[in-house]
Amino acid sequence: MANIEFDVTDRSDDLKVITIGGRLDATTAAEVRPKMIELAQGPTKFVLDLSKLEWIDSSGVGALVTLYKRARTGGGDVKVAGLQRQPKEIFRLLRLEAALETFDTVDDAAAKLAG
Amino acid sequence: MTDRSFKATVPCDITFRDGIGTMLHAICHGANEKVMFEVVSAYNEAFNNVVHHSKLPDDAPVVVEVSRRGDELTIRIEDQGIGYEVDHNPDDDVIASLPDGDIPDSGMGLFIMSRCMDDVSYKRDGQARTARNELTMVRDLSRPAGSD
Repeated sequence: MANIEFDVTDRSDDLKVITIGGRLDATTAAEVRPKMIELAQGPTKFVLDLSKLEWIDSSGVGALVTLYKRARTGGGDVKVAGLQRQPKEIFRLLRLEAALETFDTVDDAAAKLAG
Repeated sequence: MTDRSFKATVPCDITFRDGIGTMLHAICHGANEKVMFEVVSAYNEAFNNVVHHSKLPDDAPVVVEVSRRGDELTIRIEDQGIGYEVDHNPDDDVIASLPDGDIPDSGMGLFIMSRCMDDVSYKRDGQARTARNELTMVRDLSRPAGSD
């Protein structure tokens, strides 16, 4: 994918870490959203590692919210780790943190999901 | 700060968005980084809106005019695509307002614009195929970012 890094690793049987780096915007979100839908099957828990994410727009937020809503519907959950700079500002402006709880590190987010 | 402005006419193609974004960044020189994020985010949403929702062909012209008078920044974007509504409530809860499944982008884009800028206005002039959409966004660059 152009201008974006997307990687998924299994941290345990029911916990995946999705790493997204670069730009998650109108030019890349259309590629990410189907992957989110495919991943969010069943009661899987996810940590979104956004520490390498440089820029996000409404299309990118839509892709993240797609994962969140589908995971929750399937009995899973999503936490966010590593937000900084512009993506952090957008999360705050949209009050996304009220639902997509954020943590400084992947370990912190994973611990919350495990608890 | 010397008053500055530029006007660019580019094709209705997303690949032209970031070049203008770079010039916008330059015109906002001296603004707080978070304010810069807000201004460029609002501009990106507006340009995306034109490209994805105006139903214009890729070679149709989009006019972007940016001016800075002291700390007041004005961004005006003009196109001849279909009209759209600038109707939003900044107090809406974004997550709760989104439907299940595939989530439309346009609502959140307008939401971001309204949160990032001091004023967002839209007008449509003319009739039928000659009608023009004009979106104007104003921001006081000395006002702290919304998250501050």
